[in-house]
Amino acid sequence: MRDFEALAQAMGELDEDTVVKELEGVMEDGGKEAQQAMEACQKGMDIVGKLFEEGEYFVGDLIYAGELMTQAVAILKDALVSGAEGGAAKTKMILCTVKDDLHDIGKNIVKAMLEAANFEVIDLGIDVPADKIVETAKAENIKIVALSGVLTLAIDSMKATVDAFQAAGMDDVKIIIGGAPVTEEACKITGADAWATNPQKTIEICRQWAA
Amino acid sequence: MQDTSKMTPKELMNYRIQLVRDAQAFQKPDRIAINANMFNWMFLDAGYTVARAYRDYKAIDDSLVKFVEKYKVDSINQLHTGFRNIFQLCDALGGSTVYSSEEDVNMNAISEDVIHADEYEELTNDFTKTMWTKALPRLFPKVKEMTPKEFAEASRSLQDYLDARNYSETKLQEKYGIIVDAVPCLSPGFESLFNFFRGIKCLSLDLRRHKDQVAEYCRVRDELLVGSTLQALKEKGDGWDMSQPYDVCLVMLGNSIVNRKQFDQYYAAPFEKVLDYCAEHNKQAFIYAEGSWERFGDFFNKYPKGVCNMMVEQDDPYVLREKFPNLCLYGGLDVNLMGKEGAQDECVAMAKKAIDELGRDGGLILMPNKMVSYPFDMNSDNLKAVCDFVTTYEI
Repeated sequence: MRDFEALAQAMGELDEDTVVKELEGVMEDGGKEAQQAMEACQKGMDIVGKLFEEGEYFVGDLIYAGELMTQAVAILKDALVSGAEGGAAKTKMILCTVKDDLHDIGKNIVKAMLEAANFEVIDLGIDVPADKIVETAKAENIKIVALSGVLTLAIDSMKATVDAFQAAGMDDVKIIIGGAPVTEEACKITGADAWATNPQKTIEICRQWAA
Repeated sequence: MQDTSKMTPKELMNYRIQLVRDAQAFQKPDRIAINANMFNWMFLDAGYTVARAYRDYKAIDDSLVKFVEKYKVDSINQLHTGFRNIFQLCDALGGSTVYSSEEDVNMNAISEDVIHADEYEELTNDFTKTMWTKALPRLFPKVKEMTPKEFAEASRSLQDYLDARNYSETKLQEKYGIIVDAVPCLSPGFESLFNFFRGIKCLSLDLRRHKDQVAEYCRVRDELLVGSTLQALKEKGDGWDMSQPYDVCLVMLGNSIVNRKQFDQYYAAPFEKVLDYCAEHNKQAFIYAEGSWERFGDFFNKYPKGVCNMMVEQDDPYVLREKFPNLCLYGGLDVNLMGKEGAQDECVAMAKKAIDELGRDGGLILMPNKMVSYPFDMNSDNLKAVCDFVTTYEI
């Protein structure tokens, strides 16, 4: 019997060697405990989020945590796919960096944290025009959209995206904006439903919307 | 308040330096000084595209002249005169990973780990050789194919750039009495990894996967850099150098990814040596800091008033003053208000509030809370109104 509490703790402490060794052990044993291992990793990411909120971790640690989580999924992937009937249903959502902004580090951190929080994230990438986001939301029946940006230019593109959803009559889609230039003021300007400057708050809001 | 209308440019610059020095020392200044914190917006405001301006030194000079004639700012950081990211030199080296197209209002850099994770030892042991053999060809891929003649032309392009920068900066000082700082500068080893060699993502991973190599590189670089910074300070003697707004500049951009333990190792350790010297020898330091630094504020606040003068971007200056009363703040003007939403009277009210609550007894240099870069970072009428107000407001 594996110690999944210890695995969660190792993930929370960003102890790559231990996490990788444990996950490889799960796969060597046939992968039957892959789902439990993934849940332990997700629990570890909650610890990461908590340590970020408490000020012990900062952005570099979140980037590393995202990388570690990606690695964990890659190791467990085959076993998770074959046992896919297990696990809770995921909420599908869109995430992207808006038009005229090419920054993706913040977006990728949020993506890793959202996936760890059981969201299925459709990542449209960077420099994404409003119409592409609207079209994807329509096609995939998405009700939650997260827009990221680093440049102040991004605020204009975020507003254009919110306007495009309204013009398409998709008022039931909740939109959260995030990134360095985002403030309450920016949220009002864009007409978005919510705003965040850290992944924990983003997850908290998206969880409320998904409930 | 002194009448500056009849001052010569030299007298005006001295007056402005005194304003800054007094504010930094928490002595009541004659009035509050305003720093431009200006970046690409200056080109756009003068009618140029970013790509055009960066390829034409006359356009940069013209933008600067139009800017200082229109807006009554007291100082422009040397980094913000527009002489940065010069594409002419990049073009002469065969093109680079930094680019801006004619229609862009910004410029972009293709993310590149210029030095790889397995090259830390090489970089640490022979910095210069690694720069020439690894960093340069990766930043400028065509450089290896260049003939000696082409390389000589690129070198001349560098000299052209330095001459043009010197011409414009001298003009700002000698014709307009504007402060353009030129002081010893400490940009720690960590900064070179963050800004040039490894980038945000790779360095974040290195901090855990290659922790010892990062630490050793920074230790070796910082020993050298701190030594040369202290030497430059010593050569100026004790006390303020009144030809400059401050005596030394400390650069802190990579603080935007580090946690407290990492800050203590990679920033506090080298900074402490310089700031201790400043405190002992009556020197003022300007800390050029991007992002948020509130979580490290106690480190700087342990020095007496006058030593640490901090650029404020994402933190609330009113919270900072409450928590860290020893720190002089460069900030107080929110670009969200000044760029888009605010009317002139609202922007002037914001400036007045900052002066009244943060600057009456010194401790404040007004400055936009972000490098002003894009069209909606600043509204021309709002900036003019704030500058006109600040330069006439009695405190």
